[in-house]
Order: sequence, then structure tokens, then C-alpha cells
Amino acid sequence: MGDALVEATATAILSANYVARRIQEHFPVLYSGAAGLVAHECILDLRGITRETGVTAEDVAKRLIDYGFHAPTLSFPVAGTLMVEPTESESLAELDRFCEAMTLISSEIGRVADGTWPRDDNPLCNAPHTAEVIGGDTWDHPYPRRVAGWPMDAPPHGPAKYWPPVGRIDGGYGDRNLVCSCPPVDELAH
Amino acid sequence: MKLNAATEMIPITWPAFSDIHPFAPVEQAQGYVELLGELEAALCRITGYDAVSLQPNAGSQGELAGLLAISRYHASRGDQERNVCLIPDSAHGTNAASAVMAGMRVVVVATDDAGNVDLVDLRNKATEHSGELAAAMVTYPSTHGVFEEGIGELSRIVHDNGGQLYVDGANLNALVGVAKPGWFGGDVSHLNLHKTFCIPHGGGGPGVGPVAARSHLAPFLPGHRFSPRDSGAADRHHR
Ligand SMILES: Cc1ncc(COP(=O)(O)O)c(C=O)c1O
Repeated sequence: MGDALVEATATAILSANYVARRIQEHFPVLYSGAAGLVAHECILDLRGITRETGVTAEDVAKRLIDYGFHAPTLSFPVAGTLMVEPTESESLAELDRFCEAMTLISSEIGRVADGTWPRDDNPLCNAPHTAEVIGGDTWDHPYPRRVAGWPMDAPPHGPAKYWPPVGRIDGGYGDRNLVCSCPPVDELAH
Repeated sequence: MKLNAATEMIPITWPAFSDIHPFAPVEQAQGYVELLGELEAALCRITGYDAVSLQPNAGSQGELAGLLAISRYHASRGDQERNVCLIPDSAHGTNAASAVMAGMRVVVVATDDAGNVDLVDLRNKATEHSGELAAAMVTYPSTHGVFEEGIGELSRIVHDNGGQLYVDGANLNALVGVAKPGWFGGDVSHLNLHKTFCIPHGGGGPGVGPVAARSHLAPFLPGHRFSPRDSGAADRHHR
């Protein structure tokens, strides 16, 4: 079989273990094999943090958007956790950027834990921050706009920053209440 | 997240690929025949299985096709009563849904503290349902992100009780070139190729969630009644 396929597999497994090792001091990795290794993905257990600080896995997933990341799988297969599956697609630089973002998010959680930021008004529970909110005339949160929208100094922040089109939505409500946004048939008729 | 780059997706928009009619005479579709044949052969080599049907459009559809193949296999041997499917509580939701759609009864197996399928619970349930065991459905490596060391033992327990082992291939990306589900006990697997190779996600196309099986299940894989090319052979079975 092609060596390149084997290399892709090995890289996917190595990447997952790299992320698990780098992040586990901040977010415990829920399961690993007898040798302490994971396969191609790892589950970050947020449940302890949620109990202690009120910050949920969803808050972290949404906050990652502010950092410019598409969030990992949320609450599958274990509720209250994040499952990270880097695959072989991401470069080491990108994995490092992700690990750094998670480390910074962990220190943000620390500021909620120590009371610097209230549990109901902090960059995590308010994430993601839209350009409209950050650029608004008023700002009455206990953290600066810069922390909200540009929490990480490394590129691609600046011109390449990804801005979410909406802030926090009620995902559960949305899943249960289908809203059809198609125009009525009459409008389409000629 | 697997990066399915635009350059890898673009070929499906080329008219030479996308404009062919599904029922074009086979002599006008020789390129496709060759392409599909090569893909099937490559997937057999990668998985260690003997036959592949490219018909399902996504993993979940592959699950249904694979479980139906198991049901029909049992029925062909006069084992109609084999309809229990053991599924660990860590499984993806589609596993149980597919089993129910395939007419099976789901019995949930516990996972242990390390996240592995609890082999004691599996053995108890397999033995308890021994006369009606159709299959066990497990994901390898597991959805918990671990290469379960008990997979060989798990396979023996299931087979000793007359069941077939369905290995959910959603995590094939962790196996390609390193291990083959057809060799470590699996009888049939679907392959979520959008998570393994860089192709579009399925859910009605243009993705593909092939289902691959060992030779005894091959006659029960989906084919197409009107296709002379009949990749699976369910067709032959029904005619
Ligand atoms: C373990 C597992 N099984 C099955 C499926 C279903 O596959 P698909 O989404 O292609 O229907 C998934 C998909 O996300 C999965 O993770």
C-alpha cells in the first residue's frame, strides 16, 4: 500500500497525541489506551471545570470562534466534553496555534474561577463576539473589546480575522423549532 | 477536521464526471467502470474485506446496507430469529437508528471506566441472546478515541454466539495502511470516506459511504437491478 497513505494515518494519530499531550495540563483527556496514548482523536473533559466555574464545553467551543477556529465536536460521544480530531490535514504551526488558543482559554477560565470576571459576564459566556457588538457605541463588559475580538496576538488576526455572523444562539431551541426561511411559493411564481 | 480542499473537490464538477446519465449504456461508461473497479479493489486492499458496494451515499446508509446484508445472510441460513444487535453506549446515534431500520432489536452494552466496551457485559448479553444474536456493532478505533485492545476477544465472543461483527469504519482514517478491519474480526464495515479521503460529505451525494464485507456476506450487499455492472450481488440474490 502506498507509503503516503501510511504516512497520512501515522500523522493523524501523531497529531491527536500531540494535541492531547500539550493540552492535558489544562483540560483533562478523558480516555487513553493502556500505554497512555489516544488514537486519532481525543476527548477533552470540561465537566469538572463546568462544576467549579460554570464555564461549559459550549462556552469554550463558541470562544474558539473568537480565536478564529471552527470548534471541535461538542458533546459527542460524551456530553459536556469536546472531541478534537486534528487529522493529518493541519500543519504543526496550526496545531500549535490551536494549543495556544486552548491554553489562553484556560487562563480565561481561571479569571472566571478567581472572580476577576463574573460568571454571567465574561468573554466565554458571551462568545462568540460579532463585529457589530464589538464595534457598537456602547460597551459595558468587564473586559476590553480587544480581548473580546482579538484574544490572540498571533496571525491570522488583523485583516484575516474570521467574524461570526451571529452571536450566541439557542442551539437546542433551534433544533426543535424549524423555521423555514424560503420565500412563499407565490413569490416565486411568475 | 479533515480539510477537503477545493482543488480536491473540483473534479466532481467536471462535465466528464458529472454529466453522465445513471443509466448510460455501459459501453459508453467504460471510464466509470474502470474507475469504480479500481476504487473497489483499493478499498478491499485497505480494509481486508473481499467485496465492496459503492452504492450508499454516506456512512449511515452504509450502516443500513451492511446490517441488511447481515440479516439476509442469517435468513439465507434459516436463522430468521437472529435479530438482536449489541451496540455499546458509546456508539454514534446512527448505529442504533440503522439497526432499528434494518428490523433489529438493539441491546445496549456498557463501557468500562477506561471507555472500552465492557467485555464482561458483552459476554453476558451475547450469551443471554445467543439464540437470537444477529450482530454486534462496534467502532474501531472507538468513538472515545482509543484503539480498544479487547477487539480480538470481542470478535470471538460475538462469533462464538452466532453473531456477525459490524465494525463501524467512521474512524478508518486511523487505520489505513496500518490495520485492516477484515483481518481483526470484522465481517462488514461502512467507510465514511469523507473522513478518510478528501471527498464531499454524503447525505444524499455526491459523497460515498461504501460498504465492504467478507465473502460470505458479499452476495447480500446492495447492487442495482438494472445495472449490468452489479457491483454488489444482492441483485443476483433477488432475481
Ligand atoms: C462513528 C460514526 N458512525 C457513523 C457515522 C455516520 O456517518 P455519516 O455522517 O456519513 O452518515 C458517523 C458520522 O458522523 C460516525 O462518527
